[in-house]
Amino acid sequence: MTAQPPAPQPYSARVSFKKSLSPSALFIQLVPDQTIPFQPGQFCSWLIDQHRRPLSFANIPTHPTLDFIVGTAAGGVCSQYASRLTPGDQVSFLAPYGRFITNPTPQKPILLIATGTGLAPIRSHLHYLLAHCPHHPITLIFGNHDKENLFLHDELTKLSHQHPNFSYIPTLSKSSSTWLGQTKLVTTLAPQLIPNLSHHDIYICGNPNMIKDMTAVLKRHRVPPAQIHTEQYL
Amino acid sequence: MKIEIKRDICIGAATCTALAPEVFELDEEMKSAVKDPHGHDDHTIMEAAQSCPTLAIYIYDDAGQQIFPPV
Repeated sequence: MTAQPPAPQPYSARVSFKKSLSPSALFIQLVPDQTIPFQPGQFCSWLIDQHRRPLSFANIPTHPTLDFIVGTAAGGVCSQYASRLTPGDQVSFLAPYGRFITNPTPQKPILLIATGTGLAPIRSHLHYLLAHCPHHPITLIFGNHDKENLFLHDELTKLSHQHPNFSYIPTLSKSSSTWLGQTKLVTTLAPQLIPNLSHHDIYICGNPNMIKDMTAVLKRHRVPPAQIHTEQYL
Repeated sequence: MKIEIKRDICIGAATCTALAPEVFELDEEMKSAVKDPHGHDDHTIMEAAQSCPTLAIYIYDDAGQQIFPPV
């Protein structure tokens, strides 16, 4: 019989840093009151008044702070709450949740695919893999609407320069005269740039339509279902 | 005790199926569904509802009053 994961536990943390990443995303860093036993790719459930909202950890468990990327475009409960937070504020949440977890000993090259704030758990995977698998091939395709919303681009570019095993491929769906990079959807770009998709372990996070379309593309390219890992951001 | 799952809120985190596997299961859309409302005791079912990351599980008493999430 498979062991069941433990029930999520309540934790609290204080806001240590907050900045705008783009017109539609905030970066929030928390200092937890105690160590949170999560795995890269997992998420927690923020307690906001009478609501709960899931948010992925965007960094790795061994880091003393917790990073979050919060989408603000929808203007919902979580985005309004996050917009009001200031350093020193306390945040309560339940953790950990989720099965979108990094394989700590990958056998196949890793392909990470994210759109929008779906980058959050993918960044957690990436930071873990770069720290623990320094020679393992990792490719990240990060899709966004326009350059203004291509957040953490400098960080990801810098990581790709620091780690020869890591390839970073940003792509924008809205073309611009100032953007010289890729302009195709991630669903089109992935099979064009990665000819041997079926030889990869693939982690995808973003909106449900992208996940559905990307999964269909991968199936057409005969990627075994066990090698496709997805997390939907609603 | 009556169990209702708000499918539009459920994200398929599967905490409920982990804590009360005889009561909850994931359906073909990877959303939680009630398999057997009597599969576990009331305490276990309540714990599963309380652990849901989006509060998608509503619990009502036999008189139809909502007991979780608290009104």
